[in-house]
Amino acid sequence: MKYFMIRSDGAYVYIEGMSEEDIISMLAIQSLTCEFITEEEYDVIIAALQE
Amino acid sequence: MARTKIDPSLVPIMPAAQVKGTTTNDSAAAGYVGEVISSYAQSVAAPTSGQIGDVTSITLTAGDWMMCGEIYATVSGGTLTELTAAISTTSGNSSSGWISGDNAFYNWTISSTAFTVPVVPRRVSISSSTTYYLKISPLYTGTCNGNGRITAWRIR
Repeated sequence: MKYFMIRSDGAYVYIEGMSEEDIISMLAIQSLTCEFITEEEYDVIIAALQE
Repeated sequence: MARTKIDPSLVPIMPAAQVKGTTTNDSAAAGYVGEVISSYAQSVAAPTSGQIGDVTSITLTAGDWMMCGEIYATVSGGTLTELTAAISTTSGNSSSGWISGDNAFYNWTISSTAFTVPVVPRRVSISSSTTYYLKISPLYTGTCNGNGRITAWRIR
């Protein structure tokens, strides 16, 4: 399963193969948080950035 | 002890070992060969020129993995003159564990506004869950951003 997110440092990220809980724990090590978004929302953001 | 001659035509011929792969767009389950853990990050603000930062990371469970990554860096309002991409288990501004040509790759002669450096596939065998960071270290003027992906797949 893929999770799509906006990281607290402003990066747009997807992670595949990890649980939501593990992602949150991993980011916390770097003092980062994230806001999970849908794949559709992610695709729109990435498409705009690629233009 | 008496020897018995065996008729070769009666000996079964074993075919070479073959493992059937999936024939659809599914994913291997956690813990199985073929499991993939991957992360891509875009628009990551690069560290100060000459420093080291993390683009993204993944946490692998115990096992035998192949892992690779790549960094794509862009600069606006200046020039990118050097780009290093690496994978390590240390976060932040640290080159701990970097081995040139093994898990850290340098390009020293860039004079551009965009460049890509790959980190080629490398085996990692781990006995407990371990987080790997995709590292970026650029030399630049202006504003630098990095995109990058790190991927690992369980190989046995």
